[in-house]
Amino acid sequence: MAFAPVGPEASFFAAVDQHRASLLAALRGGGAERAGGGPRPASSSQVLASIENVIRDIITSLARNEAPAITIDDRSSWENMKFEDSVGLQMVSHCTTRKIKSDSPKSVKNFALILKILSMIYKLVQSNTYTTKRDIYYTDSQLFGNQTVVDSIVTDVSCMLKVPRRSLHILSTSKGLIAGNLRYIEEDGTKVYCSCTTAVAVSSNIQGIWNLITDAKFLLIVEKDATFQRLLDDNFCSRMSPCVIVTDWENGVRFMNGCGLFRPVVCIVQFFPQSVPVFYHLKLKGKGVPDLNTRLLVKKLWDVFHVPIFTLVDADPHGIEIMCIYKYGSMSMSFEAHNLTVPAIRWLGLLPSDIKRLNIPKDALIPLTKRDQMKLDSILKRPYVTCQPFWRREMEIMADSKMKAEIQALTFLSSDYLSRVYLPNKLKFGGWI
Amino acid sequence: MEGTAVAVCEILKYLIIHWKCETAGVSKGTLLEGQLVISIEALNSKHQTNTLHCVTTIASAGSIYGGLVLEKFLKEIQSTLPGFSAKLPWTSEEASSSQDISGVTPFQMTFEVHEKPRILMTNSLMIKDFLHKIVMVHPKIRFNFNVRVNGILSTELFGAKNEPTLNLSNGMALVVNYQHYVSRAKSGTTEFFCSRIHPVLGPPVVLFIPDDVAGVDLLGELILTPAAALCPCPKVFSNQLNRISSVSIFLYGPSGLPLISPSREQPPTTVLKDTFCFIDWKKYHLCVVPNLDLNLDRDLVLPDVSYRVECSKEDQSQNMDPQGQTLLLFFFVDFHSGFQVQQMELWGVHTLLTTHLSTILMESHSVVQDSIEAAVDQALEQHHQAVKAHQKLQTSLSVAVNSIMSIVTGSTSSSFRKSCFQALQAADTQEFGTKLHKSFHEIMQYRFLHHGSCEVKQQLLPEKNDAEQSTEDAHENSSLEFLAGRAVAAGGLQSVRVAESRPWALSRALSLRVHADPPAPRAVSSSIKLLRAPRVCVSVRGGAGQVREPAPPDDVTRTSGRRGPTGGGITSLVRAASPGAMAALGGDGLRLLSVSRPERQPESAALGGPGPGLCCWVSVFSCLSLACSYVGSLYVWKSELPRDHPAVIKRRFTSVLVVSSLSPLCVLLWRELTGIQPGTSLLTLMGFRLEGIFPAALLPLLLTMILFLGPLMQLSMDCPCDLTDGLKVVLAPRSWARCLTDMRWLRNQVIAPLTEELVFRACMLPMLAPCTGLGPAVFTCPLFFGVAHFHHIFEQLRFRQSSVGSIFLSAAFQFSYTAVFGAYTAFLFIRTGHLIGPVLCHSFCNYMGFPAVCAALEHPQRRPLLAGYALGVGLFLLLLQPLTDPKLYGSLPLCVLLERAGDSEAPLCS
Repeated sequence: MAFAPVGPEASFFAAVDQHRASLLAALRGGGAERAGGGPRPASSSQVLASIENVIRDIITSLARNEAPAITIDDRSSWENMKFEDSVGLQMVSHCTTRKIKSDSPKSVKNFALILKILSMIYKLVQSNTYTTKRDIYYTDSQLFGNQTVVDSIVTDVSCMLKVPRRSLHILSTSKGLIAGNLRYIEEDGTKVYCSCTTAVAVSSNIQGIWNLITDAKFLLIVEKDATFQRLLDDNFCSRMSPCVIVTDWENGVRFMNGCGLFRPVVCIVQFFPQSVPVFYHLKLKGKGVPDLNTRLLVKKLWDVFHVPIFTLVDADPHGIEIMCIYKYGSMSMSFEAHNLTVPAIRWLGLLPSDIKRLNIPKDALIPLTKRDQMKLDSILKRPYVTCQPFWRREMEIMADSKMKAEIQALTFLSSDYLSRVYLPNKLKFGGWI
Repeated sequence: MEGTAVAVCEILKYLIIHWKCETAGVSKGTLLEGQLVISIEALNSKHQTNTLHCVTTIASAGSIYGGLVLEKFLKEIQSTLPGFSAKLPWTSEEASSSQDISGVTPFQMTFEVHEKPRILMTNSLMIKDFLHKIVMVHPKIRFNFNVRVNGILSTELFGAKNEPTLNLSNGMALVVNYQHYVSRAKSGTTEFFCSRIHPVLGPPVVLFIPDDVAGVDLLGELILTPAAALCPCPKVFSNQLNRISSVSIFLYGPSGLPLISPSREQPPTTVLKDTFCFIDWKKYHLCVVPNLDLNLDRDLVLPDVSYRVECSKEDQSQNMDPQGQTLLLFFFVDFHSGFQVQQMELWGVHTLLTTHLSTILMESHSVVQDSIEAAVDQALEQHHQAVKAHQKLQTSLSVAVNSIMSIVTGSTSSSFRKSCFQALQAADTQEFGTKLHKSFHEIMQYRFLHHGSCEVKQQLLPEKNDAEQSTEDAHENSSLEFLAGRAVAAGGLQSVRVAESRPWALSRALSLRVHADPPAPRAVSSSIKLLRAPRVCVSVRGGAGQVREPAPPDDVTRTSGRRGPTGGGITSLVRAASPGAMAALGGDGLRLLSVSRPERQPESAALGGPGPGLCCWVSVFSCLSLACSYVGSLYVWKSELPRDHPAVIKRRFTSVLVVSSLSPLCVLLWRELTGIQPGTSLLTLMGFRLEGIFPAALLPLLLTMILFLGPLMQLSMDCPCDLTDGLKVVLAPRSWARCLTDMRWLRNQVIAPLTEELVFRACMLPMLAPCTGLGPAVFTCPLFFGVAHFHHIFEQLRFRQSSVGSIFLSAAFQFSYTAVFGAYTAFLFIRTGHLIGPVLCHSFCNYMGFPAVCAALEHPQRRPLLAGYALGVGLFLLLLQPLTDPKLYGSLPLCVLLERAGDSEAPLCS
């Protein structure tokens, strides 16, 4: 049994390693790291100065007896987006802008709220304290009315001042959890050990973490909390060692502990800590989008380690959307694409083609709703789909079959099919696209 | 309602109905316009004590009552007023007989009656009220109501001509100024959101007339259109909804006449007996009681029915709220649109409505109620929306102001704070805060006024109208070119651009006009008006440069006296066109013109210095001498050697370089002689400049290469080596070195293009252009160039290389070839304003030589080659304009020169 871990181990990760090598080659081939476009972390004084500039503009236009307006780059039209395979979605340099006028009954409230949040940011930056979007909302929930209002305004302000969110001293609440082989030190010195058994919440200050250490071979992004928990419960994280596959569990663990080189090395990053029903609810409302900190962490892990990153999402338009946001970014955050997107991300599962391949019973499938169809069509029209022919094919398969499947559909085959068979096979044979 | 009032009202009613039928039939939407005078003269009666003898006169302007037959009128009006006919002696006079009432005569009727003083007073008030009501829907009728009691005259004018009106969709026009409906005192001193009411129409309802009422043979269908409005408009930023404190109902019959009962027993307020049943007041949580305490003595339109809203007990405290609003209800009863009605029928309907309105309305109770309530609902909804919008606005405003304040006060940057304070001219934080709030408030309120339905139709200022009108006049009546753009944004900024040649025309036109018809020549006065308009920008392009001066209206007359030798001579001419200086214009126009170039030839009228003829001769002479000296320089060396001999070439290099380097001096001399001021340095004029040099170097060359597409193809086809090898050879340093040492190459590719272009284009074109204009210059300039190439003849003749005939033939051919080429490079020079382009093209063409067309025709690969030729020429023609677009190369000095010289629209400059 002593030789067992070594042989299969090497062959098991062969595909992943090869993938990693090709990614690294592509990185080198593509020249240096991306030139640091986009907003860079700004110093406090810069943030203060740019806020002052905005206020000064408003006051001067008031003094001229004109209705002041705030100009923000328009991120709602695809015409202002350019797609670059190595970066993802970016804003074009000369994009159209949209004006938030103070003299139109529709936008006057938005105008006032932007000013309010600007003043709050100003105070925060001055006092060097941090807050969250949630806290901002609760300072005057009546006025804001809705958390999404605050969220969109904070994003707008970040875009307007060309300053990353964190430099505005507004943290977003982290919804992500991480598990696996990863250690790092938070800015305040706290040492964080992620383990394979318990999940750790994603830090809300990604920029501040340092001394990241991992031996991970790959990183898996899981869309759903339930699946994440299931993988942890199934010891997927630990079993992803070749010894586990070949030998028994005990040996594998012992071996892993003894041999640092071939440790079970998976980081699982996911979001949505909510329970499943809540998640469904959110999903139906189309609100499940990756939160900023998780995206930042994925980006950081990629930048530091260059390990292959895979995504495990539902085989439905929403899952594809989430994956696309990790890979290429979203329109609303396109101005910060440089700090957020990881184009090296690959789609591991659940592929629509898998549904047929694995003969998943029809009962486990769900017909596409009208909303799903529309979403799918809109994704198919996006610029980045053209350079992902495989993705396009998968989406076309989905569109043709008019069916979607959740990750849980695999449990119809066997309760631990996902962690025992599906993922290991995928990883072993390079089943990502 | 007593005698006089009823009589007056009925007569007026009759008149207006007649008027309406006369002017527009009964078509809706036409407003009556005119003036009526009602005067009551009362004197103490000699026979009875405490009784006044009243003589009432009703008069109007003539055109209104053209078709009124007096006898018929008297008969009909007497039948309508049966009670008076016995008592009142009717007298009527022919139109022109009496002139005493403010000159308005053609219709006039008088009647006399005895009244008690108190009754006369109520009568007057009722008449006033009647007039007021008419004016509300006929804003263009004016009433002049005079009452003279024992010699004491009181006059009142009714009319809403200049007041805002709203054309309702049922064809009525309604005056919407709230002051007619609610007293000013009630509104308090606080600011209102707007001074209008915003009536909302309910759906029109067809009224059925019950058989027992319809005594008259009726008629078409009657339509009731209710309108509801809340008055006054909600107060700005009021936090609480305003309470409705009263309800006023106004009744209008067909032709927009108030429904007032003719019988004296009925008080006017009871025409509509119980409005209770038409509105479910409980629905609106209102508890209404009839308000009988109507004070006639008010400046308001008196409602036909009025209710006071009683408050329920819990909000008793607000009972006395003076800010309560009034719900205004207008009931317009009219005929179905398009229904032709005769005058008497209209009259009859009025009588019917005034007596039986309640019954008629009751007949169609439910639909009437629905319609009224729909109108009220909509009015209330509109009101609620407005209030909500204001509340939102107010919140936003305070949030915005507080946020800005918090940033400004919390800022640690003193320069930022200072600049903020300075912008609003505030001394300290407190003042800054108040000013910030104030300006925000003003801007928002202003914008919201425009947003809501309250916007004021901005009447064009009469002044501006004049200006616009006069612009048109100017176009019509004189040859002046006023390009008066109607800049809307700045409130009518008018700009008058007079090209340099035009002031002349202006002065001529002005003086001619003045002489022609001295009193008030239209063109002159109109142009003056134009200048007097508040913000006129007079821009004159004259010899003294471009003068752009705003001419404030009060400045016109003052500056008219200024005729000193100032730089703005032309401007002062234009300004002098004020009424006071009109007489001076004819004589002084020319003199003033000459002032624009005071330091030069002041006696000359031409702006370009010496006369054009002289100027041209100087230019042509300079060009000719340049060409001659260029060619001559080649022959100063007496030599027997052929032209391609290196020694000859070297010598000629020297002389040609000397001549071409001296040629700018010629231009300098020319400038001094003619006195033309190009406005730029000579070097710039000659095409030595940096602006746009890269496109100027590349694009013309590219264009030429396109033209030579065929020859180039031919060259590459005939080339023994393939393209890459050829390129390698061409790019190798050795080949360059060989070229540079090859005297012929140097001459053909470098020196000749450079010097020829310098002399024949850069020096000659600036001299020729002002004389001939740009277009002709392109074709005259190469003549010198072509002539200069004739010198080859001498050489050829000298060496007898071929027969004389063929020499001359080739010379003629060369002349035409070089002339065409010269025209092309001249065109390039003018269009690009650079010397580099023509030089490179010249060099390229020298390298290519004349296309070997004959060889191409016999070429083995003839077809593609000829296609290449054709394609090249076609593309060239296609791209000639766009590639030489002056916009690519910055401002063109030659065009500037020409513009300054008066030719503002040179065809090649754009």
